[in-house]
Amino acid sequence: MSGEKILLVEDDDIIARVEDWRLKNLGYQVCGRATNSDEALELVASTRPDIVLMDINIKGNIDGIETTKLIKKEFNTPVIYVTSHSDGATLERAKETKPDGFILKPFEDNDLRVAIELALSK
Amino acid sequence: MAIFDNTGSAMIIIGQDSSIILANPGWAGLTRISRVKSVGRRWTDFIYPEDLELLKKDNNGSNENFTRTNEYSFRIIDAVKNVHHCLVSIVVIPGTTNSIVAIVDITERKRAEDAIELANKKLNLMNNITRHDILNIITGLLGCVDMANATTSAEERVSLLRDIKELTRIIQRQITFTREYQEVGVHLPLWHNVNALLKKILPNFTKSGIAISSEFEMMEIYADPLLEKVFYNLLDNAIRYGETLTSVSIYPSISDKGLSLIFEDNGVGVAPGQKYEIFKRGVGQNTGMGLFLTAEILAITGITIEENGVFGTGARFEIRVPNGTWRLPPR
Repeated sequence: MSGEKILLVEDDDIIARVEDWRLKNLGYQVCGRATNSDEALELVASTRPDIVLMDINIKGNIDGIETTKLIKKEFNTPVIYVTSHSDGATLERAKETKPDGFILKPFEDNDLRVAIELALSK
Repeated sequence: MAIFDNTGSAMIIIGQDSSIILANPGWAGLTRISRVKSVGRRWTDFIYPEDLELLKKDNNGSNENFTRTNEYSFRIIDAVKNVHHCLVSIVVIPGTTNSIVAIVDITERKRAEDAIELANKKLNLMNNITRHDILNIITGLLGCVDMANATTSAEERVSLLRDIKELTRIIQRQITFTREYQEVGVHLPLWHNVNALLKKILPNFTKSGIAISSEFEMMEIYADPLLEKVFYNLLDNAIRYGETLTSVSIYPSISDKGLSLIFEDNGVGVAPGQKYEIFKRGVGQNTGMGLFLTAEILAITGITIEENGVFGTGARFEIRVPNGTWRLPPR
């Protein structure tokens, strides 16, 4: 890893703080945090991250899956879902967006590192 | 004839044109129309209109008056407009063009089945929600533990330990909530006296210093036994999030659509973008379950809730009780 820029889309303050801390420890650069779809799109446009870590259940009417569709369409930025939703219907919807990875909560350093490195190597 | 009269279920003999030739006492009991007055009427006139249309469609669009041997499930409307869910068997009497129709009223069974189905769906949903929420919290917990281990600052460690304790308490609240939630829809709905219920819960809020006024007399509403929790949640929420709140008024409003129970306060209110969000699961500053549970409890008997106050001047929760699920009992 060489300080790749990661954008967090996570509406839970504590989880965002944990992600931020873990990512920095792993040597990545956190270029911003969004809590809803609009913020996510704005930050992708302004910071041009190498990867987006996307929570599915975010604030507002547009969820993480729909936001991913928009990010992929407009910026083609790799997106990894970070979620505790493992039910079939949610996974199917998420799969349709062709994500670059999937991290199930609860996660620790290694889960993040492996998923990010795999996504970056694609 | 004795069997026909004493079979226990509603029975009629109908002609080819679906008119009633003979009715038994069970039919009179079901429809609340005497046996004599039933004779000559078309029995299909008692079928719930939407169901009759479906039956016609099933019958390839033809209206054969349902005189053929068959079994059906549809609703029947009695003389006072009560709707009964029924199982109906029609058998052509051999050697005649007449048919005998046997009707079993399964309304109570249907209600019980619907309640079980709804309760099942809700419990499944709650399992998913709880799993999702607890996994989220554990993510935070594990992170805080790792951060506490890694930090060299005593102050930061204390702060992280405080976070860990709070997150653990959230898990505890979630688990407590599931215990409460699994009661939703489990017991049959009841008629609740609104005033008596409010009198029961208001003492819980006396220490809050908030002035709470209620203006109900003998109104009763038909709701899940957890209705008390709905009222408690609304008051608890007002006090918890009202910020500038000093008073709450609870009063009824009657319209042609039904009864509304209004919980109105003078706190900060709910921002326009949050008026629907607040009823979603997990949305909120505490467990995010109070208003979600509130709406779920009310939904068991078709009651709805919305927030329609003006942001900045106070919150106004309106519980809409449709006609048929509220009453003013005789004094």
